[in-house]
Amino acid sequence: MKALAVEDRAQFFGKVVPAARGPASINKKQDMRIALAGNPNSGKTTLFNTLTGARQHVGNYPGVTVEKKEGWSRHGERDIKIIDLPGAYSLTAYSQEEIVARDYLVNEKPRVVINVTDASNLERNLYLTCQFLEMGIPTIIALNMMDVARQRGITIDADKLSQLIGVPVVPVIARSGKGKDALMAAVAEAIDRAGEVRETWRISYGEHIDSMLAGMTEKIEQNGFLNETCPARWLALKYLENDAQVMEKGRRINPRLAEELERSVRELTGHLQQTVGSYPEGIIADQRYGYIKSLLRQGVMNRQHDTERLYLSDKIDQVLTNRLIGPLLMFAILFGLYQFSFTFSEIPVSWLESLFSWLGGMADTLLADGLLKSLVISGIIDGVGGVIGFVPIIMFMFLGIAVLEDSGYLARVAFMMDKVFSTFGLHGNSVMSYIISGGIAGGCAVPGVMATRTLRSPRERLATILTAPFMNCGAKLPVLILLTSAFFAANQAQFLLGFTLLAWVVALLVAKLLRSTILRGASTPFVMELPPYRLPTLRGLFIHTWERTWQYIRKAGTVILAISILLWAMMTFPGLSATEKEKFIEQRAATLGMYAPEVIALVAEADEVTGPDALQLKEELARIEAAQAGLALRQSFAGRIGTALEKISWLAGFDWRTNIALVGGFAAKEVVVSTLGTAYSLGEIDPEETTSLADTLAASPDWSPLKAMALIVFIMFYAPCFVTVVCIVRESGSWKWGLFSMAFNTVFAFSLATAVYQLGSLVLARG
Amino acid sequence: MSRQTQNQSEMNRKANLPDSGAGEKNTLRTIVLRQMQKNQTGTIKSISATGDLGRRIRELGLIPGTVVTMHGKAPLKDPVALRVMGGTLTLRNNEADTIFMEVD
Repeated sequence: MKALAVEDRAQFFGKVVPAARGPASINKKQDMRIALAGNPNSGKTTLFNTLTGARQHVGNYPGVTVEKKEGWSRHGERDIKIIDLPGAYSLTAYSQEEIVARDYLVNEKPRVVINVTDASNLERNLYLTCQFLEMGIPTIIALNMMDVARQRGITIDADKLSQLIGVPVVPVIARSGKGKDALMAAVAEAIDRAGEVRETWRISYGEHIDSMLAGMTEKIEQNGFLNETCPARWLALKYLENDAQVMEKGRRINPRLAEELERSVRELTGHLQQTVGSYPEGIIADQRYGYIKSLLRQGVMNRQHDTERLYLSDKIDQVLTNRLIGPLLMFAILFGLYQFSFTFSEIPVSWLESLFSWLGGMADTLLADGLLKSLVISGIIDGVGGVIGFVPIIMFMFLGIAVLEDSGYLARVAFMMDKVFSTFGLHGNSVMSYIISGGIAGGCAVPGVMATRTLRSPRERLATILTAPFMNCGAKLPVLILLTSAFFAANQAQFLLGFTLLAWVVALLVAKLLRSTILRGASTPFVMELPPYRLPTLRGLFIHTWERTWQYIRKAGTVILAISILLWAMMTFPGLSATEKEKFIEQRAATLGMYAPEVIALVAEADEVTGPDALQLKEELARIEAAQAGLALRQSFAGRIGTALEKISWLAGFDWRTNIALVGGFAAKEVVVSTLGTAYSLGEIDPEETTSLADTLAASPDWSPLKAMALIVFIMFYAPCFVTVVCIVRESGSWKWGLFSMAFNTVFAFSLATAVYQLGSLVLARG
Repeated sequence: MSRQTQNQSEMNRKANLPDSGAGEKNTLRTIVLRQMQKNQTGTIKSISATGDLGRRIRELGLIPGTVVTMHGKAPLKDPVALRVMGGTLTLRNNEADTIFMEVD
């Protein structure tokens, strides 16, 4: 498999959309698109929520996992569509988010960009503004967090800024909605004027670069090179900034001219290195900041306090990222989040479980015995129920993460953990995903995989996605508890703790392995911002949580239902032959013949039976039923697979019964328990109440502690359950990685289990 | 970070440290960012990082002339946190080695 193709560099200029900025089409709804853009942590999302209220919709940009948020805002007669672009510090193709933001601006041509800026950190925020202006997009600056700036002793003269930079500047406070009407009025005015021809906005980059830019711009214009979608000077700048995405596109469109432009850049680079010892991209950044600094000095910004003053946020940081207390508090906070999610989700989970068992009961009474009933109950209701059962956990998890994320603490966790994770080729942000997946035993890989969205780089993100399912999720726990209580009862707690540690070690080592083979590549720089601590807004939290939960629910109705039905069919068909069925019917008749008719009537009619005869009859009937189910399972497709797999699986000590259970475990890991129960003809086994199964296994001559150990190792690391696989596919954007995780994990787990079993057997034989 | 950059920063440190900055005010020294003490303030003199890292560092405002205060280090001493222009930025140590600072 080749290293992750950088598909995320999506399709720049992929679609050529004719410029739709003419004032004539103003009343058409689709032309009322404006974009909201700004630095991460500038309050962009809060402003988006304030402007659109609940009128928003979340999707994904095609081919990438960056969320696409759209909303509507009413201003007078107009319904304005607002697109919330992902946060960006710059428009050079650095992160997925920045590529998406740039592609949108270039290809979709929104009529106006609202540039959200953090007034308390204006200097850096204006860096992005300069790039919008250079792109020639009509821009309005929303000067957010004026209140925070004022508290910090910073005053900003919005009119002066507007006058100097040449675009409207509107002070707003996104959290309270202050300034929102003035902002939308400015937007409306800018929409009306969007068709007007404006003078090209430009910064001087010094003599060398300016003259080179002029020459390159002329060549680009003469050749009509790529510039139907963006200004020629901007393209020339991108060449000087060494922008891989633009240069690659250029080579494809017009190789000759591209070569010419690249040669000019190389010459200039050589020249600049000799004369000033710097690169064009360095000088361009320096000059942009130089421009911003001079702008702010002309009376736009005034500071009253000393810049070195410690703000509240810094004081909090002194405690929360303290060398000694910091990690302890982090552990306590993460553990608290965990407890919160799993404790509070227990109640709604039990409601959902009752709901689905009630539905199952309804289907049981309403439908006639037979395949349809079995399909509805075991295939559809159990399958979808299993998925929906995750919803409360996911909701609370994401609520917790949203709190951590919106308050700014998550960035600190990444900061503190980065050293550990970067050693294994991951990133500080991977820690969240590991913990949620079961790093503290009992999590769930589904929200864990979804939590990797906070990771910026594709390789580290993929390595995290692929290794997070190694953690001991809540569904593996009943299986681990069953096996440890059957074979290692004396030290159960120690064994369970040991398995948690083993999961961490294996996940990190496999991550390292992936990052040095198929996901090889330099690690993403940890150049990131620690945003100031902020109190999250309730609306933001709810919207955040709901969006992610809803995406998950939608998936449950489609792919997951289909796979669930497929698994049901595999464990049901072809069923018993007529003669075998006949045998069980005869057995039943023979049993019934030994009891008095009133006892039979009693057992048939009442759920709760009393009296020794009735109880005995009921038990015998249940035994026959279980034997029939066990035989049917063995002869099903899954059973045949299990039997066929014995040829290989004996290496790790698994027999056909275990194999069937493991096939079933692909649906959900706790199914291993119930399937083992059926395979051992114990009838229905409740995963929470496994004593009879544990006793059976402990007493069985086919089992030994060593076999149990090999099986535990296999269950911990083999293919993730299909809900997780579906999430992996979704989050990685390709079925390839879903299939990879199934195949790789199974082979890996089997090798480990075989090693445990074979080496263990050797040692035992000698000892 | 790639080994190449690490070596490069290693080289830069060896080459640049002893003499650079000597000609200016007599109290000024040049050190790499990693060597700054907590709460120490300095001015960026030069940045040796190129490519994506170099661009990103500059885009976030770390350019020659910018005043930077060492805010602290992570519990495992890597990465470092800096105060720059009213915000806090983090860098891994090997990334911080590409930034040369002038301090008192």
